[in-house]
Amino acid sequence: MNASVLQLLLAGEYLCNVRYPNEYKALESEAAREQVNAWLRHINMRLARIGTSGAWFMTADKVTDRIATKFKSEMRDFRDVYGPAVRMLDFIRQTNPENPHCSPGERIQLVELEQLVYGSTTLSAQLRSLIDVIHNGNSRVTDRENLRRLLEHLRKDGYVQLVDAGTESYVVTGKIEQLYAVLTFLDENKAIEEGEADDQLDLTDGIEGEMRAEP
Amino acid sequence: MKAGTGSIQRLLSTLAKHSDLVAEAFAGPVTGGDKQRDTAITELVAIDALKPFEEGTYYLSSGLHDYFSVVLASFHAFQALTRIDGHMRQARGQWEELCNLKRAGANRDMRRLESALERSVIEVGDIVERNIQLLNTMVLGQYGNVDSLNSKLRQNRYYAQEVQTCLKELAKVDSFVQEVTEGSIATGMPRMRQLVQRRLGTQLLPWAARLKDAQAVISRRLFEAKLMERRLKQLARYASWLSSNRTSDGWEVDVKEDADPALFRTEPVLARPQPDITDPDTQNQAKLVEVANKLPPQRAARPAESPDELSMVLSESMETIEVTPAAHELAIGQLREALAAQVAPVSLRAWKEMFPELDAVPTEHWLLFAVSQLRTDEVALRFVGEPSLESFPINESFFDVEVAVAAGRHS
Repeated sequence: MNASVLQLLLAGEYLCNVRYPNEYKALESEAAREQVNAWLRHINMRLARIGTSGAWFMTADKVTDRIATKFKSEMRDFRDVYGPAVRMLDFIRQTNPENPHCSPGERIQLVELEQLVYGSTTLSAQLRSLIDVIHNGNSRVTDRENLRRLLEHLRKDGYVQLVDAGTESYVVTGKIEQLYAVLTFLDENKAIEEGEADDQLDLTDGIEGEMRAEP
Repeated sequence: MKAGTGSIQRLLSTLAKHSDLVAEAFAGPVTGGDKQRDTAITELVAIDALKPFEEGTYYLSSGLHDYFSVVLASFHAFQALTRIDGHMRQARGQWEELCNLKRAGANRDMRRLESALERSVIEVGDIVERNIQLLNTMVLGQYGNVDSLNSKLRQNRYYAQEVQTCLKELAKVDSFVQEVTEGSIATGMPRMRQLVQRRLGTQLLPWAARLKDAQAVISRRLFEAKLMERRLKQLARYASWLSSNRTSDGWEVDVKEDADPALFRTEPVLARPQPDITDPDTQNQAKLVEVANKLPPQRAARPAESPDELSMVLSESMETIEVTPAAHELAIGQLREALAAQVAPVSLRAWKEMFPELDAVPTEHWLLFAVSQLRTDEVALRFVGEPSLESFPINESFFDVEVAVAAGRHS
């Protein structure tokens, strides 16, 4: 049995092929998964996966009252729990709608983000509106520094991984799919009406597209 | 035949001579420059390797371009799969004419037509193979000819349609193979049957399987793309909601027991190993000792500060503490009593000797102690010693002290 698989699962990590390729590969074997499951069952846990091909993680054997209560509390405090990641990732999406960099394995380069923000006053203003969300975000530092802090915030939360410190390149990890799973759940439960945010969204993206089209 | 071979050699020789320019033309249109380059272009145009497009601009001929594309598996974006309909019509026409010639008994023409039909059948096979190779290169290479995600998605949709068309064409090839197989038996041309069966019939199933594999990959990609689009839209909607509903923090939702486990954020299970000091393994023990030696020295425990508390009266009765006097104190006490009863002086040294328990106390200590105790008792102290020979002695030596009640006290 791969010891690091167990250690990472116990530590609450999401084992995706981006962040933990060796451990992810180890879990490709049915026998290895069975062994891990057998071990986890002793502590009332089991191995689970996001979707059909996503990251592996440890989950409780069954949804207890405590777990359900905690989840409901997270949904009540969505703004604080998931809000920062949603807003920051959506900002990255908007910087380059052609190539949104919001799926596992996609590469984000700080310099590329910086150039896109530098070329658009709208994006720059939007970045500044995220300062209260970004850890250590500061309106008195440069856009580049705030972008770097934004990526570092996402890195600490496990949504991206620094793959090259020299070029400040990050890769989106499989943990992002957990966020999408929550958003899908909220959609299924009609947390917000389809049209409620869409109108504003179309407007925002439209303006943003026009801004970028300008020479 | 000889002349033909020579022509091919000359063509290849010209291509080889200007290989740099041919390679450049494969990547894109070429233009003239210096005299040497213009000469090379003229020679390549002469053998139809380059085709003029605009004034001074030349493209590689489509035949050569296709050949290099297939051999190097390098295709440009949205490159269409080659249609085999035309070749199929040609092969079908040749086959029908062959049947007519067979019936007419024109054997010489038949042989020529057989050769032409064979070439057509080979071409059809080559085209299908080429199409499949193009599909695999494009699909498995993630459409490396474009960087834009949307363009990749459009190529996915485009090739999904191309695969459908290709599969329909394969059905036409199948019906042609059946037609030739049945007709060749009826007309007595087993070689034709063998040709279409070997070149096309036996390949149909593998071709269809490979095309369907490519179709499956494309379908999955399209599904993933739709999923990704949906996710991005979700992300945008919730980000927009967060921005425009600043007074709301979230929602009251209910969750069922069979909910997707991915919804529940993982919680770490704390596991902290403790050192086992009873571990008999010598290496482990050595490591433990090494670690223990590196530990900082233990701080002296500070006396616990008593918290400020209200004073409480625990007992109102005064306790009587009985003090047991030491032997020298008893001796002094009895001496005081003796002095009160008699007038004659008492030698302290002699007094000490009356108490055996004071034997361990040096006489010098006794004398100093007794003098300091009796000095406040208004007794007369006389230091008994040898007379000093010095005129002005600094210290007067004595070996005993005599104590007597002061003269005024008795009276």
